Amino acid sequence: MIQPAAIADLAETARWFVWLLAAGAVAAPLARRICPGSRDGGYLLAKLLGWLAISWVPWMLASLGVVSFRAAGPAVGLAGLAVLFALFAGNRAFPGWRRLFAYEALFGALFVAGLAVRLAAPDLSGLEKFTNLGFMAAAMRADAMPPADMWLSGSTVNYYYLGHAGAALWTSLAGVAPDHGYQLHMATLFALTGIGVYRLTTELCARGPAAARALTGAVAAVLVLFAGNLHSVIYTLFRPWTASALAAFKPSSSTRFIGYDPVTSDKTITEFAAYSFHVGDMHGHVLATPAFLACLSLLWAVWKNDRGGAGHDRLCLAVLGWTGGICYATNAFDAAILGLMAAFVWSALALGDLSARQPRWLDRHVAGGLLTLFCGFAGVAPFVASFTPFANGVELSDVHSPLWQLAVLYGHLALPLAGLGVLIALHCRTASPQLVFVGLLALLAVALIAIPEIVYVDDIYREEFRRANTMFKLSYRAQMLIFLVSAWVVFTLGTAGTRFARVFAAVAAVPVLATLVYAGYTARPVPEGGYRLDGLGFLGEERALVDAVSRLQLANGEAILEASGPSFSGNARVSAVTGMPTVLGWFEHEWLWRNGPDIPNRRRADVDLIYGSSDAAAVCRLLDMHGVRYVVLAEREREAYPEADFQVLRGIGRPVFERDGMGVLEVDRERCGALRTPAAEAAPGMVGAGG
Amino acid sequence: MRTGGFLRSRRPSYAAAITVLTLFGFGLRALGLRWDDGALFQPDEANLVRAAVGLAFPDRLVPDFHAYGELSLLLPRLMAGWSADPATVSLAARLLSALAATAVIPVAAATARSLGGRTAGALAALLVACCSPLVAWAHFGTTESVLTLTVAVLFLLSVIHLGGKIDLRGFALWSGAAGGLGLAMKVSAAIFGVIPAVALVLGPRLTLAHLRWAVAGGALALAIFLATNPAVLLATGDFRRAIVWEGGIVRGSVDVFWTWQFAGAANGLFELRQLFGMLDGGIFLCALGGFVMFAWQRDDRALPALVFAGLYMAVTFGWHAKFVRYLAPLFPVLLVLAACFIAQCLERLRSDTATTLLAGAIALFVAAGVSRAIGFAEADPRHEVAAYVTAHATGRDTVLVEAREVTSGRYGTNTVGLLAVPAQDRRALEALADAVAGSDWLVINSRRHWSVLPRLRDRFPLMCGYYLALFRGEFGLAPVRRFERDPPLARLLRPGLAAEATRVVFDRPTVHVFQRRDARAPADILRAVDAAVHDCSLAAIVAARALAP
Repeated sequence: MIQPAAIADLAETARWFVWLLAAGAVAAPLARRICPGSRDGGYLLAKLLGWLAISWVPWMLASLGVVSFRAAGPAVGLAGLAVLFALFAGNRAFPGWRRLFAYEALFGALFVAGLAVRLAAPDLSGLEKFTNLGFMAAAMRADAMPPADMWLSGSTVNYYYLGHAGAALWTSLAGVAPDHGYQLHMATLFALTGIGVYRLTTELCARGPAAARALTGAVAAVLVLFAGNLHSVIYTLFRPWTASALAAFKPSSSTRFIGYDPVTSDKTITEFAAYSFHVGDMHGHVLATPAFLACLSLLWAVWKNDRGGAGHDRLCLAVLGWTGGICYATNAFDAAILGLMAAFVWSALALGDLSARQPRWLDRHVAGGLLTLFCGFAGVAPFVASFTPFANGVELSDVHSPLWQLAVLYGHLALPLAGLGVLIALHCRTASPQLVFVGLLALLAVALIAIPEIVYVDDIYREEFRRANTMFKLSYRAQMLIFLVSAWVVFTLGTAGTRFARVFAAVAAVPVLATLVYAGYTARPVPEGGYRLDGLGFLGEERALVDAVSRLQLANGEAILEASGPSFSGNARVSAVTGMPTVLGWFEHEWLWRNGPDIPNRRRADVDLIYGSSDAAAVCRLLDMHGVRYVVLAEREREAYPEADFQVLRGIGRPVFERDGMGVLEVDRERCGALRTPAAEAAPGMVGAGG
Repeated sequence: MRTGGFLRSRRPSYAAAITVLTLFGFGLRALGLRWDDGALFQPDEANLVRAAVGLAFPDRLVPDFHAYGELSLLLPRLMAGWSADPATVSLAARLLSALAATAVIPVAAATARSLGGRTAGALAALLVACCSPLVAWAHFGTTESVLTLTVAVLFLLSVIHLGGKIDLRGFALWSGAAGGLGLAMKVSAAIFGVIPAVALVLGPRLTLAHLRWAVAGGALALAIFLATNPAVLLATGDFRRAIVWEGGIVRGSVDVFWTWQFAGAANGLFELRQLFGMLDGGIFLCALGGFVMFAWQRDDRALPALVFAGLYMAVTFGWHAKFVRYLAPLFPVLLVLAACFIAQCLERLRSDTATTLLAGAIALFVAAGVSRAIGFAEADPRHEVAAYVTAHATGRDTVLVEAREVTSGRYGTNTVGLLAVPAQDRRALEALADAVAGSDWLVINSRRHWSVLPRLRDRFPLMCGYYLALFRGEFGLAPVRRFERDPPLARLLRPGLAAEATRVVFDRPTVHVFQRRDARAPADILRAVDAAVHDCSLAAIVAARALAP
């Protein structure tokens, strides 16, 4: 018998999916208008654009103070989509029932697969899940954007939060709890990533049977969603012949290789999409992936339009800029990566025009680039206005990855790259637009792998981790591009006329497809009790406490207090789950977001003093200073302050929740006020000028 | 006398566009007109309103305040129904400002249309409507908006006169009337006479009859001035002393704290930098382009305004006091020039790149103006901070305020004291330390002192250390809140510390609140100042301030 909770989960999932279908359908006319002549009539691209637009409209209006994101966000998002539809309704986007059914079936299958991947380990604890859930929950509570920082009361989020705001909007739209929204949004990201890869790959596969094109697109999508890198192949299938110092292969092994196996003083990260979905990471690089893929699709449209003689379509450029801007506010590295790709595309277009002696070529391309930039900036201007960057510039890399380790990670690209090189050499004068564009994508992938060997972005990651974040963000996209380029090369050679080409394609496909071995290590059994959307099971006995806090009301400027802790600890869990601001959450995260340890250090001292001090007046002063209304006293707090008896807090607080030794106190302002002594009475020498 | 037709167009679409832009501009100027809730935070306006309220009929029609022309006191008072309530008079003065600033829109559009066609006219209307400084001045009950309108009208009259569309008599009398009204508002408007004077010289060959009308125009201006400024005749001594005192401030011979910010500022460069910032870069460059374009084209019609702008800059750029309000009369000229330049570029260049760049510059300019207007509808940070302190203080706390701009009544029953900054010597600092040690709250209402005094190390050797230690929380006072009037996109468009202080301190200051965290003796505070003063710089203060919430 199906449990009622499971039926409720199904209903929520169905509701969410229907909204996804609707958003895609409504954005279809716009996609068709900017991608004329595409095989899907822009229908698949519309899924990406609709998903972005529905949350961007209320985000922008809430940032400008026009509407409340919390109260009116979903309605405004739907109204925005309606306007979008009305503006472009003239561009009929119906791809035919057969295709439509196929596309939706593909999307639905990907969504279900993504949900299964996520719900196989549904707990939203570990790695960055607290951060992501906290941002989402904080955005759901916010009237204005940026939302309050749940881990630094009195401040707004200073991070690339636009993707999380989008997740919050979708969660509100579907009317589900934040943790359920998290799971469903991860499934959405999974499906959109797959659709984005599928669309771009099939668009680039120009000739050959339709089934082969579709198969190539599907394989590319599966590779991106499930496969690892060549390390996953070598260190599993050929493990006995490797010099690995690690006892066994784990899914994280392929993402922590350089600097870890063997251990060196240059530790880097080489994550990829399959790992992100395996661990359920909803951080910026995952949230931005559909927008990134949409940008690549739009760059292809720009390239195709211009090479086809149609010139620049201003609307297409504007949408490209807008999508790129969203990438910046979701994951800043993506804006840089897309900027590099755009520079490749524009340079190639300009060189082509120059050699063809096209009139006013420079003017046309510069104007196109500027329009894209302006739209990108305008689209996320409120984010730029509120965000204080925490990078301190670019440094030259003083350490480099051993070549053999790079080969172990990316060696599966070698044969496709060679095949691509031969294709370009053979068709250098008559290269198709597809060949050149894929060549540019390959160049981008290689550049993204090479850049961390030359420079890195200086952020708070220091010493042996100084290159880690740069390599992480760049190689993340590079590995995605490797699959895309490889699939295209194998398709093109495989459908070519010569036997040699087909044999080469088959040989080149072997290492690429072998990376799917990684899926064997990430696969999880169906959880006991079946797939459930609940992500808060890890809270255990504290769940009742967190539920109680989530029902409390906080006025603007008020905060809760709970034990803070180091990053990736189990502390700061109440603020993460409820989105309510606490005085300090994860210490190192605030260090990064506030570009230094000063602010979190001060806050940590205050939290320590409040929980540990026996001076009631001092505690009251700090509670007032940070606007604390509710204080959490539970197991985490007892672990963090084993010496404290919390008598001072109990003396000035009124319990609003108590169970099994856990409690939530509401600060009694009158009692606290009576305890506080004005400084004029405490310190001598006051020169008071009456007011 | 022919003057008609220049504010109207036979093309309904164009006229409709100008009308819509004028209404839109008025909306921006009228939005949040009571932005300080009647607290008179703009000090020039406060002086003007106090003087206006002091007038009484029929006994006391000559004020004792002569920094502004008496018409600027009388008009708001009359518009307020002769009310003696400062808040009502202030609102009337602001409404007058807003109306004058709105009138600049069609006038500038007509000028630009005469010089550069319909596109230029529409662009000028858009630029003037959305010009951030003009929007801000419209919210102050001072004379900037009227002076701007005077220049705009004189510019238009000179253009249509030199275009042969108005005869000398009409030109002279209308110019006299407009100039006289400007002069009645502010004596320094006398320099605007350069515009009609140059137009006269450039116009049709002068005859004795023509000269007669020119003299009549000048006489009309003088008559309006004297009729509305009886103090010139009835209290000549006071009037002269006020002018001398004001002149002393302008030249730097009178030492007042509000001109300390100009110490070390480079003449000309400082003002150009302000103009660049106030016109959001792109439109400033377009205005310079317009200057060069008209000079290159030897278009006589624009020459009077160009000569005026050049002369005005030559005079004012040499002054010690470099308040941006002195630059107000340049704005109609600069915006018309910018509009004509942009229209010319669009027409002649036919370049996609130029079009995109110009569209970007205009979009940024419009966004800045709209954002500034919306800001006035937000709550004033000085009122917000008073409410915050009152809500969090015990009712018996001592609140110290640097630059007391909010009445103590807004701080509830707490004791409110005015912080005696700056401290020039050790003894003054000791008194300051005593006060700070005894405070539960400290409020800094604007950047007037902390962004200026640290640069004046010779004069205030200890103040840099004082502010550095304060922002670092070393006085036992923790920085707890920062209040700003935050319109959308504020951080993108808010002027930095290089901006002249009055661009922010009047209407959109950043207010810092410090709350007592630990008790400190005065000696501890002095030690903290002494320790901080050694490695102190404005950059260090800015860095410490950035960490404050």
